[in-house]
Amino acid sequence: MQKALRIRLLFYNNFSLATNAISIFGGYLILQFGTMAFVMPVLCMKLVTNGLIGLMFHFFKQNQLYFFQNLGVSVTQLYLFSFLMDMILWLGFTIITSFIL
Amino acid sequence: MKKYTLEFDGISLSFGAHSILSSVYMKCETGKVIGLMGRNGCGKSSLMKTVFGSLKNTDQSIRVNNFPLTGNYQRDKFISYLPQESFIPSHLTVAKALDYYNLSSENLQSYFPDFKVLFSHTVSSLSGGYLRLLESFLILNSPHPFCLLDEPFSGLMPLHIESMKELIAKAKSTKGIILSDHLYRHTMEMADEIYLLSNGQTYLIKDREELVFRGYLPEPSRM
Repeated sequence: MQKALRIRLLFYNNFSLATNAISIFGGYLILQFGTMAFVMPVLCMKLVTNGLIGLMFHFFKQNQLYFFQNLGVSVTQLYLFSFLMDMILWLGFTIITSFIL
Repeated sequence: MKKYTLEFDGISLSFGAHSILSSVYMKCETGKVIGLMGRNGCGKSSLMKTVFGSLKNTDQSIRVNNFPLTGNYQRDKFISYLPQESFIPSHLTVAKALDYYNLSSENLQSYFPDFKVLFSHTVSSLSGGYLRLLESFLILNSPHPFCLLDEPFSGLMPLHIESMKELIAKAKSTKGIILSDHLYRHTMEMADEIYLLSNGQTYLIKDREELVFRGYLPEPSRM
């Protein structure tokens, strides 16, 4: 179980820097304008940018997928885990931001 | 040791109007090395990717012990695949890459002593030859009963080619291996059976002369 999680987190690390930077930018917007009304636009921005980042990876680093597939993890599982992981982190970050606000 | 048989047929593949694979049949059993030969661009890599499951195809039947493999069957860990291109995340160290595949540094070092000083190096800092050795080592020591090796000798110096052949021979005792490489002498030496992929079809090859006849090897007088 721990190994399975480590494998998926290794894949997520490919995206974590870019996607978390966008989450932080979203939090900054909320704090700057002092309203939670930015949550939905930020969510839309996250969905679009996550899609673009995923596409870029799929085109430019596709060979890396074999590393994970050979470990028994399918491409669908990898992308789904990364998406959910990012959404959970973003949600947590947004909740923290709302408390600061 | 449980005996496994991998069979695939009915694989057809085309890019636009250009048909790459039309009627392919191959069989591989554990304990055997099967050589797959063919001209550049004839579809060897596409065939391997299809069998591995990374290239989806509607008309295909891939079976292990007559059990059809469908959907995302990589989780069943029947088949591992060494692609032509490097596939290990470049920021991983050699030791970490081995750890993900549950392999020990000592085992790698016993085959390739040069790695003694490379375990803390990142994969991106390895030369092409060492990277190929590491990748092949990971795949050949995976728990899967079948390995698909696409150009495993590519970029290796002669000394390492011999070590690689030893590694393949050892893996063969528990696995079925499909090996494709243009260094055909090594491939023929390792292989128990040879298939030639030509015009989208596979032909079981009896001898070297048949490879000449089918246009893969030059006439002996031209060598």
